[in-house]
Amino acid sequence: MQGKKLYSDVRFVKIENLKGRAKEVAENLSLKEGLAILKVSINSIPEYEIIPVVGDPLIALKNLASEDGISPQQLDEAFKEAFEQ
Amino acid sequence: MTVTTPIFIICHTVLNDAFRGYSDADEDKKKQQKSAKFLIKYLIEKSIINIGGFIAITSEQVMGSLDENLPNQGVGGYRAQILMALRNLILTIDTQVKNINESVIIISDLLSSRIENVILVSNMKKKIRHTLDFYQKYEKSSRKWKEENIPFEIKDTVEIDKVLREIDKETCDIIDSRI
Repeated sequence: MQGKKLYSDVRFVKIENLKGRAKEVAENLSLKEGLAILKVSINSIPEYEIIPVVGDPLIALKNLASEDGISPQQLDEAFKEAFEQ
Repeated sequence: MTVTTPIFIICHTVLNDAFRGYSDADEDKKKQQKSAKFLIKYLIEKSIINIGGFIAITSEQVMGSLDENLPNQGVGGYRAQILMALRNLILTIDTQVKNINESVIIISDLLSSRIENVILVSNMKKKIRHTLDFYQKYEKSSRKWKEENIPFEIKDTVEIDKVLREIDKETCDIIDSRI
């Protein structure tokens, strides 16, 4: 897991609903509205990342796994092992 | 007339169908996969509107099973982002039972004692049989369980797709527009 960023929360958000520092992050990225993924990492103060979702949100979910180094095959295998009984 | 959105109890088969690709899926399974994906997208749309409110629930046995099978979970504090996002879409309740099938039946039973419109969503063809067996196994009386005695509805994702399009066309149109 070396070098991998640890997140304390990852969730879908509507950009126009963001408040406070997360809203500032969106504004700095010129993001005004639409579906996005909000990632939060906490060291001493929460740090926000906003990834706009364009197109299919399920692809965006699977991309989160890819970012974590989980290949599509590993993801498929994990679901198979977990749920095929 | 106000139509209330049901509370969906999510069986593991829904997540399996939404996220896995099958090379040998027949037409019925393809419909279930497509509608399972649609249901997850519906939960995403509702989660960004109803902040903090859940309309879908599953068991820790279901989500935990996925947790255990994803690589490197828990190593050095790592949690897979996809799991964090899913847990923010679907409220997870620990029922303290090991059986993944029984765990969602228990949640459905518990909720249906307090809330109307609880639907156990499962793409397992035998789920009604499993549910009847569950009640038969634990019911101490000699009551013979029949499908009409089950205190909640059981539907597959193809049926849920139809329900959602009837009760919430606006959100469904948004989902369709994103594809």
